[in-house]
Amino acid sequence: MIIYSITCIGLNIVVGYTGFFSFARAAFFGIGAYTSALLVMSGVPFLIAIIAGGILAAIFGWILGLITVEMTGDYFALATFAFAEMTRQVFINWTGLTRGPLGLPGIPRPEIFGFRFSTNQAYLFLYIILLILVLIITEMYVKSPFGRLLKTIREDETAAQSLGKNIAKTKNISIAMGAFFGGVGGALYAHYITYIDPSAFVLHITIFFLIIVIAGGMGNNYGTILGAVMLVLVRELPRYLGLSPAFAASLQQMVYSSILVILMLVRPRGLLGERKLLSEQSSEEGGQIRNA
Amino acid sequence: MLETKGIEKNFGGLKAVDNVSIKVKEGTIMGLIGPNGAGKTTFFNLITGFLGADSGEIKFKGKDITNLKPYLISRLGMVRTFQQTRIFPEMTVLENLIVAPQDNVGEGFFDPIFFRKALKDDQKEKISIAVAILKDMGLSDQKDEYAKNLPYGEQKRLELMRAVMTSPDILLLDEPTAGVSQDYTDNMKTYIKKLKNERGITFFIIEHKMSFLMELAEYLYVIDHGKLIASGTPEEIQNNPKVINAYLGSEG
Repeated sequence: MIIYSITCIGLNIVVGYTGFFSFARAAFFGIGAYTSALLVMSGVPFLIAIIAGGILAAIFGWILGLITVEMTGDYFALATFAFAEMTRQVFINWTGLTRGPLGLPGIPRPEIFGFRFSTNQAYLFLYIILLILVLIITEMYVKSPFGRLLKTIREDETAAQSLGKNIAKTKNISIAMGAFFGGVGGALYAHYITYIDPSAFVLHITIFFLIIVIAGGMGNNYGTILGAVMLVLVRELPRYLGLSPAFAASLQQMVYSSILVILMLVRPRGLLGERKLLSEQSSEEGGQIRNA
Repeated sequence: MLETKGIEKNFGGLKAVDNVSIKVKEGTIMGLIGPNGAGKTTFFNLITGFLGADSGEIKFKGKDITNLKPYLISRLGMVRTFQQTRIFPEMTVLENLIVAPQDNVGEGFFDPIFFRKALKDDQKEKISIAVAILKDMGLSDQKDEYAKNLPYGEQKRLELMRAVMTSPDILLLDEPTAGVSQDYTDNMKTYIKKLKNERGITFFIIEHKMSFLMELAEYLYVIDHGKLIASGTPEEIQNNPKVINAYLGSEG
């Protein structure tokens, strides 16, 4: 749940604020997962490894941004989709590094300053702290003029250019930032699940992430967290209800699609919509934003 | 201040802009008129870098800006508006304005983390400037409204105000009164005059409504089929047979 929240907050920067539908999420998630897993397995400390996972994902995000700089809308989505597939093929075929379809087993659980987070409770605690950290950092960004600049790209790139804004650069930063959190999320996933293989980073999971962002409310990080909580609950619920796995799997898909359809009809902006800047308040508090 | 020399643009076999040379003097209001499809907007797109010129030279404040990227031209102090109004619809009126200034603190990657104090102070200042401009234009009541909810005429005014927020030296307006009522047109006229007098902004305006520019502009250029066919004061233009011909067709 928390892993998905972190990943999707990253995705929200790109989709919700900057307005680009990126299908490369699974790729960044996977890059982060593999990087961190391999680093920790060769003796690098956990915290450094997850950040390295994020940074490597961000570098790939930056490169993807450079390539797609002229693309908008559907073209951008397709290019990111192709990028994700390429990355997955690399995971499968670079067997010397990733062991290909065999996957990487026995990824160590997180360890910080000698303390090993082995119980699920300790785990939850660590990940909640990380989520709060990520939330604070991203909120600082999206509430700042930088966040507003991202929105102008979503609203009207041409107009933003006419005001002297360097759109290409800003777009790149946004994609790289989104990729960074995607990478960190992937790293956390790897250390939680302790086993990764290329089948964990398919299109299916990208779509799951997108549903979280759309359902939770594009352009609102709290909405993203709410979306993650809701959808993971929906996914895990059949297990507790004791339904047969085959039935549960198809039920899941139906529930997902129904949630999407219902939300699109009832609340097209997601559960929590975007917040609006109110002038009275902002002139007193200097740029604060609150729920509209 | 702004000068073009023999500027040309072809779309396939069509000469959209053909050897056009103009000069815009500082502190004036100049107009560009011509029938539909004459190449006025294309000409604007060339000057502001949204289209690349095939040949010719564009100089702004003595600097060669031919084929420079639009955002760089805008940063030099030449800002435009669009015929098809381009506001930021899902942002409030106030947000539309405070995002515009080019010296905004906090738009760089590191700013939101390391310069929080400077950023807040700067935002406060920008908000007060924006509120003052809104008051000037009588749009204060709508400042927290989403821009998409404004009537069309007010969206046009918002776009102009947003351009003013960038503190430009010259504003290029592409049909500022297209599709709006007479009230808005008068209001726009007053506001443009005021901006010129109080802020010393130079204007270069494309307009369809002849009457609008006849009163406002000091000097007019006329283009037809991509070619400059006349230039002069509004009176001279009104009586120029070539212009009358282009607008109304020849008398046969």
